[in-house]
Amino acid sequence: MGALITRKTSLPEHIIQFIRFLRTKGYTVSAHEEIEILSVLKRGVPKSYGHQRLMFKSILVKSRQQFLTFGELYDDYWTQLSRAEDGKVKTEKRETNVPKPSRQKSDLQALKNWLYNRSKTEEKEVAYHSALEAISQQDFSAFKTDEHKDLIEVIRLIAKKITNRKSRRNIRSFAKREMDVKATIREAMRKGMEVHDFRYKEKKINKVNLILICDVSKSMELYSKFLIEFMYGFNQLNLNIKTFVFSTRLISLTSTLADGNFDKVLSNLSVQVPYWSSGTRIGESLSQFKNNHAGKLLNNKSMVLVLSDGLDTGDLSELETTMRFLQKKSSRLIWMNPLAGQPNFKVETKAMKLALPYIDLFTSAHNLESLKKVAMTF
Amino acid sequence: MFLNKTDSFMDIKQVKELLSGEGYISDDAISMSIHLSMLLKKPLLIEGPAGVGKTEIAKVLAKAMDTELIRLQCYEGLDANHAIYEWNYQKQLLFLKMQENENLTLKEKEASIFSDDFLMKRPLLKSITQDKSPVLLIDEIDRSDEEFESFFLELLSDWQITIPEIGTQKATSIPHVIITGNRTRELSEALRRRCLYLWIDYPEFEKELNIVLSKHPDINRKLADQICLFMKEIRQLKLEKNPGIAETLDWATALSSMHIDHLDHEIVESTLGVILKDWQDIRTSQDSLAELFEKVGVQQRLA
Repeated sequence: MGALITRKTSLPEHIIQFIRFLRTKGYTVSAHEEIEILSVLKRGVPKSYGHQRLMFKSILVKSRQQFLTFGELYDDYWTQLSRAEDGKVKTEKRETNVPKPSRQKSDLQALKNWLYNRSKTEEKEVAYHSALEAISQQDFSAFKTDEHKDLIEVIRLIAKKITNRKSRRNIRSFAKREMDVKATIREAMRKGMEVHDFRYKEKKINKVNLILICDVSKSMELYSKFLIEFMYGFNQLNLNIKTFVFSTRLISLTSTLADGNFDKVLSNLSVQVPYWSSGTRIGESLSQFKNNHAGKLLNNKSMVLVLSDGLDTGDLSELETTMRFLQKKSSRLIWMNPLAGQPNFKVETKAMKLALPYIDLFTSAHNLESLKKVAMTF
Repeated sequence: MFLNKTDSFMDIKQVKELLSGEGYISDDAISMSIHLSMLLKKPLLIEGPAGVGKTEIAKVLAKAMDTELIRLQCYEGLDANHAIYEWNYQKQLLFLKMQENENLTLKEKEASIFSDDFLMKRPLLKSITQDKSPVLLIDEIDRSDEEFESFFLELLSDWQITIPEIGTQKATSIPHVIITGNRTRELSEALRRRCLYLWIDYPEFEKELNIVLSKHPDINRKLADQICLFMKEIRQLKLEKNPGIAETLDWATALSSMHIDHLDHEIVESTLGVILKDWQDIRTSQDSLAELFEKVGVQQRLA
């Protein structure tokens, strides 16, 4: 439903209507701001249209995105208002013209095949690929459901290593290892300078924000099963994690993977990822992450983990800048490449060559052994 | 004489003039935000790239209002002891030692050592216990931990700080709060809700030229034009760290102190380090220098 814009007779009504209009555009405006606007206007309405707009903007805007787009919304509102007839409701035509989002049925065959184990081609490829590996080090392309437990164990190990990073801050400890002299004296002062108890301290554990960006393009199809288990496993742990997948564009899967029911997750995935097993545009997808999500998600406590084979079919002009940005803005940038486990692997793809100088840790992720090694490097 | 009155900020034109009087060239958006921040007594959260003059606003405001500037520089690990208050433990211990032979009750001892004499006021507490409203600058809040924001919220909502030993300290004067951030992390919604928001971007050519001319009235006009045009163009390159106004002013200072009246290839190449602080950026810009020179109209030095 679009915002209903009608001509009002009183100023407070207009303000309430404008704020309702803003709320439909994603603004979270409380009654407090409405009161503030009224109290400012009570002292005098700014004379020019531009200053009126600035006044509303200064009070209602709460982020950069809003700051940059507010002017357009404000103008839009007043244009609509001037068109509205007295007492008659006019709906926003622009919004009604927007086609309803339809669930795209695209190339989801790979995912469905994985779900029901129906893919003959996959089986063939799996058989071929597995033959290259030693039996004890079975490749993830042959990932089986009974390996689920082992994978979860390794994921837990990685998660434990990631989350056990100590901060510079101290917190109270009951482990009685390091005495906190300051807190002990402070406590003694409260009790008439008699030391009854020693206080202890320990370093606070820094919560690391993990950002998982997985490649689900055609070239990674062999690893679909592993990828989903890997992403799902991480999301089921009590971590601060955000998950994205990409092929030709980037899609956030954090909320989808948060569901406790794995079957439900799988059926939702087929709807949410319409571009599963299509081409790869690493540069554009990572750039999309940089432009739309990095501002909110990346800080010195974030660790970015990219899981991709680096085989790209898109425009790579942005990749180097994006990788440099990701490395600088995150505490660690890790790239896991399933192909890197092959005996004769060399970094030959253009995307990998461009990305490599900015990666803090480049590692293979082709079997459980390699994942365990990754965990040990944290 | 009228500068210390909040009333003088009742009009954005007046705000502009007051800031301009202190050498800060503002625009309508900045002036309106300051005007409303004063009027509504709400903190002003300013975000924007480094070097565009966010911190300067607080400094200039303090000067214009003829009041004290209290600054809290945020960093990772900043806690209440460094931001709000701390007891002077050494002094308390000495005092207790001196009073050992006096027959004071525990309550009396406690009352004597937990008093203002032993309280070390840190910026936040200091800012609310002044006779005259100071300007409180919380600089680079995004560098502090999220937990610190929670401490800060109590102050912003109620203008009071609770000290367990002596009770709640209510503000004797409400400070004018300016909070700055570079968006290295997203700030909480709770904090944003309590503030007015202002985004300052790199200035337009005209504004930057005005800033340069106001800071360096003696600079050659052609040089000032070229510097501002060059800065505008160099910011179009995809650099790691775009140069801000601070770098423009540094460059203008450096070049005018060398009595240079226009840019040429050699001067730009040899002074690039004044405006670019990242080796990668220097490399990137060097690759595009020929194009930049053409756009800005920088000539080769005549033999």
